[in-house]
Amino acid sequence: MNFNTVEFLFFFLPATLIAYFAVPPRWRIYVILLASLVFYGASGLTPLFLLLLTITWGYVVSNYARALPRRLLIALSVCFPLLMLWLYKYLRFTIDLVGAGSTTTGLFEPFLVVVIPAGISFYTFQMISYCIDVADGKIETERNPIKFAAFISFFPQLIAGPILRYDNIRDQLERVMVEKKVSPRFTTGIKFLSFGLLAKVVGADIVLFLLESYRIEAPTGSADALYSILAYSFVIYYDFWAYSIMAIGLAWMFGIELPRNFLEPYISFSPKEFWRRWHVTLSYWVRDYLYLRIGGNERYVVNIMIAFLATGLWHGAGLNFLAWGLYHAFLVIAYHLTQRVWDRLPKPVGIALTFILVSFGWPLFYLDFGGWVTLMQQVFSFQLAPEPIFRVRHWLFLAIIAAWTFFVRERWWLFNEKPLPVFDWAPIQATAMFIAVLLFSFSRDFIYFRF
Amino acid sequence: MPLSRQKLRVDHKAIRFMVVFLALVGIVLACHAYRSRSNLEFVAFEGLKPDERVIYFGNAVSLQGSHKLHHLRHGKQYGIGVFGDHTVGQFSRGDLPEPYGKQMFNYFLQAASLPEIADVIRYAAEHELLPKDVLIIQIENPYVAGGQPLIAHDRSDLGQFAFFNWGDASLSEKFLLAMRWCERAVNRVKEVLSLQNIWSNIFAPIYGAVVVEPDTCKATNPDRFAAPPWVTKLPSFIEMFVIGFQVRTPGDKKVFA
Repeated sequence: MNFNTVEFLFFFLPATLIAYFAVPPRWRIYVILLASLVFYGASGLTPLFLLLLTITWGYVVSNYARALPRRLLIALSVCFPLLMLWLYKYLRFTIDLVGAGSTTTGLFEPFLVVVIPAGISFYTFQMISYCIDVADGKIETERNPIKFAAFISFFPQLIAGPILRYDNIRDQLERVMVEKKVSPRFTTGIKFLSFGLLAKVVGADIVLFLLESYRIEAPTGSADALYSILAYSFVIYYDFWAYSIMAIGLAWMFGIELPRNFLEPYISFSPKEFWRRWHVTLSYWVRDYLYLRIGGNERYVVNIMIAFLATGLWHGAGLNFLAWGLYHAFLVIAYHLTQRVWDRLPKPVGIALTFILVSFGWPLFYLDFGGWVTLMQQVFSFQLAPEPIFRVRHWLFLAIIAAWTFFVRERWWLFNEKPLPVFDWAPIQATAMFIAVLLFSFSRDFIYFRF
Repeated sequence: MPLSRQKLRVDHKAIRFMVVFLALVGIVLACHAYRSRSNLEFVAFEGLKPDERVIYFGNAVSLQGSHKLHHLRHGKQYGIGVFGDHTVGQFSRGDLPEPYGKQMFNYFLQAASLPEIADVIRYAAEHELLPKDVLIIQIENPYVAGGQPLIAHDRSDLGQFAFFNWGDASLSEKFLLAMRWCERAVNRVKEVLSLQNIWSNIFAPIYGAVVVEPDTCKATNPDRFAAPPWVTKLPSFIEMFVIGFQVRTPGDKKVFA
């Protein structure tokens, strides 16, 4: 189920909220779990079964194998989720990579025919972080299976994050279960949901419609190629940002606070800063559970390469995603080596340069490496088409989105650090959601669902 | 602690939001309901010439069903009736030699399955509305989507027939019928709450329909179905609003009631 559907907005969400606040406190966690399973089950019973298996495995191993040596416990607890992730997400890629024959392919047919379960990378990483933290003794093992299942499957963030750590949410779930009165922040929740929906439709989906008129096989000049790159940069940002904002807003309605996943990444001054602002929960996950564990800054270049290759592979099973990871590793290392020069750049120049460099990497999300090279060639051919696809009005539309992204601070209008009252007016929020609903017919799945 | 005893703090801002949002949604739904009822004779089918087509805007599949059903109930009783889905839509009076052409009407629906066509025919038979001489029934390739489009009972959104077999149905069948009705209701809400639908079904008659010449219609119609103009013409998507005012029908103005 998607947030940007009538089913979710008009039926699922109200029914869940009513049930949540109508039942006694000890039942609230059951409502959350049941709603989460229904929410996820709507995308298919096989993914739901897989999610339940992963939850069961994590719960059983963390509770009944604690006596094992630490490394063995970690290996045992993460092997099953990783195996499922590999079978359902990376198997085809592996088979293609090793050039396995039809006999081997036929053997794995049951896994190959299943579409990648939505959000499998997200909940697998969440499960792994929990298992490692338990093995490291950072957190207590959760003995309540319902609470544990609710943590892994909490529907606002189940499919596209933010990736939760158990110590972030354990006390909140406990409070929900015992306190007579939870403290939902409906006002904040509604604001985030309304503007998240509008941003998804206008900033991502409509721009994506535009982009689809550009075909790399039929190049129409450098300007069009550049437009497609810059526009996709905003598409992927607003698509993922909108989901994260809505997830935070929805969780607030249940009295639960989720961490922010984006800290205005496109105003980053350097590639390194970009990764502290983009998909923050994944960045910190990779830092804590991979980068630091393989030595951190001791072997900076090698470890950065490993961390970013893993990040690339997390996003998708394909050489293009590995290339994307490698591209960002190169950017971060290049910044590291030229930091003294880079840091002397005027701030707007650093921000623009970072944005351009990051944007040039995004096409690897939808093109193979060869296609990406072709696109770059088209951009740098500096040829202007007599009949470009994207006209002045299209560039103007993009300029408006860019101006909003670069100059209107999210912490002002959304998080109210320096409130802009107009965004807190209920009629404005209601109108934003209403417009978004009317444009649902343009809506697409969230890009990060497939990760 | 049940809700009544929990004493949730009243969030006035959230309530204001709900009131405004539900009011906006309610206005659209109410206007659509009024428009659908008052406009069943919007298309005067009998005024259509053999080579003319009625083109519906937006995703108004159900609107088409309502119009056709209304014509079956209240229109002329024909000698030859064609029932089927979109693939038989191109079969027109001009394809039959006279005098048969004049006696024929094509009741096809954009999306319809065999059980739904059976419902329509059974309903027509019970109310003595069936075409007098010949019934032509056509349906698309049964191998599409594993044959589901052929046998599924929820393609045309003909809500009028949701409870057609209610009296004879067993408990489990009643459950399925009710589920189907719910699904239709959700789909209907989705259909109504779309910008395309609003412009085409609510505002068009208020501002008056724009009749487009047949050539213009032929030139733009394929684009509209394959890729709506706003797909390639955004961000000047104000065009969408302008286009929404147009109800494109080839031929003369007699097709409008």
